[in-house]
Amino acid sequence: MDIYLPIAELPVNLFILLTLGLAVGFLSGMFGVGGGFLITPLLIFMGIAPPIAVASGAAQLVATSFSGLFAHWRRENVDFKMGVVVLVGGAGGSWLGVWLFERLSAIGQIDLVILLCYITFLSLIGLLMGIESLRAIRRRVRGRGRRKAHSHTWIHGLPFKMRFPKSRLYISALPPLAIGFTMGLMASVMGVGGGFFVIPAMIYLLGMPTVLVVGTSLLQIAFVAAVAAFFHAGNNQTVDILLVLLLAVGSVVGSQFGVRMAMRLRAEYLRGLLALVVLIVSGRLIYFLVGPLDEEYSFTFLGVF
Amino acid sequence: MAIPGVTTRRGAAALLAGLGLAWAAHGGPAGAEPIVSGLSDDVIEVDARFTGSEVLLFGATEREGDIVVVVRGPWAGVVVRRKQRIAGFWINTESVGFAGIPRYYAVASTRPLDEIAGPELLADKQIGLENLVFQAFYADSAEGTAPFRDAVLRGEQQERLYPAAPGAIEFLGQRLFRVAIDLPPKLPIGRYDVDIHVIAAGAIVASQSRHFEVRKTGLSAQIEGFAHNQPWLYGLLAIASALMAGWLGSYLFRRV
Repeated sequence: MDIYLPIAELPVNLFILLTLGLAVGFLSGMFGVGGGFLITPLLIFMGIAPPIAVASGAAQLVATSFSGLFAHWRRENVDFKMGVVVLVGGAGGSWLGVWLFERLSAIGQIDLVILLCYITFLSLIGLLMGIESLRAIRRRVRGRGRRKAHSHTWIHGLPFKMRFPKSRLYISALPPLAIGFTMGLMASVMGVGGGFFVIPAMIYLLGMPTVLVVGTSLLQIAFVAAVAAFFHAGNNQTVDILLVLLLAVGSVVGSQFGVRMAMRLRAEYLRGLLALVVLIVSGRLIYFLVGPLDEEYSFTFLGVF
Repeated sequence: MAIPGVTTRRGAAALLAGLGLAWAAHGGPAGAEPIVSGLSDDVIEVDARFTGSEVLLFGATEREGDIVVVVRGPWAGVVVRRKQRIAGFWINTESVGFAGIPRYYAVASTRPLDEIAGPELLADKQIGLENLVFQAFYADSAEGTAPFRDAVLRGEQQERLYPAAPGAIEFLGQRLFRVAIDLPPKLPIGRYDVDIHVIAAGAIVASQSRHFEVRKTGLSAQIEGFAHNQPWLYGLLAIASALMAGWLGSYLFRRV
């Protein structure tokens, strides 16, 4: 059954949208990421214009991440103080990102920038996470003790130190602000929440306890995605609410099953699997950029003249 | 003579009868109007379930000759970009902008176009895809604008917006004719012009213009109107409903 999308202005298959939402929601619940890095490229592949795919993808993230956030909130696995500091950076990044998106669209390089951002971030994170999880699996198999959680690095020498009682940290406010800023930029330019970037950053850069990381990252994803969607709707009128809700129905249900699946798997296998998914998506995008091209030309209509 | 406003498919039969009466009232070739015509729909409504449609054009003419029908619109500008390999990557390099091109273009005729009229007339009236003029308002290209024009034709043809083969004109008796205008799923919103020409001995002997409107209705129109008229409020509502969906999912599944 086809349904006509009012903003994207094309009919899409209802069943495909619901399945897409379910699959992305499942991954999201399982790994604690928003799943935007899958949904935005898939929407573009379905023929939805990139600006609408990015903006609606961001709005869809609000639904998925809130669904997960409430679950973690009930278990008190959210560090709100840390969340707020990261968000201050996130709001700034979102605003700059929407502005950048407009500029790049105007000069015709937005699709290249989106693609390069995806490839860079996905490959980097996928490789880092893959290597880390392989090491962890090997360590566990050999039965050695865990690595020290808090090792002092240059990060601990930065000014503006703050206390984060929930995470038991006393660190500078600058790294969380910078993480938030990068995340906001990614949300508005790429239509992703940045979970695949924020989770490793909070574990390895800030040294937060892993149990708080997923919930806190979901808080940020939800907020940053909401801000990005809001600015896209206000500035560019590119949020398709029907598309958002149809995707949300599938992803909200899928994420609940993903959360349950995650409880059955060991953390290092989970991270290894996520790394694999991320690398596959990245490989597909690299092929898109350097592989054979079936149409050299692309066009954008400018509305009624 | 005025054709009564017919907006439903069922009205097509009534329209046809009306045309016959009109023809009789004219009393044959001596009448004032050389072409009498009407569309089965003046408005095509695009709602959430729209998956393509069809408009029927009915007409009658007293003039001898071939009939050519051209449907085009809505008018738009387009920026076409070309990707080239730079250091192994596909990157947008050259681009051309065209103004005033129709998003939809279809021709129907009683015989192949080149048998009906000479190239000058076809070019002058922009009849036939190859005669459709693409006016570039800027060009940043080493090879001229032709390959960029072809790219738009290819893209529009893929969406059935520029049907490649001319459509057929069906005769219902001596003078009455009918043309089915195919409207594909990805139909652009706006005004469509329908031009009817009677061509005899390579010259136009009679012409008439009709138009129909494609517009969003129901939920689609309301959503679009809201998104454009109150974008910030719309953004808030989109987020609020996504939030609700997330909360609802978490609430419903909390015990599973």
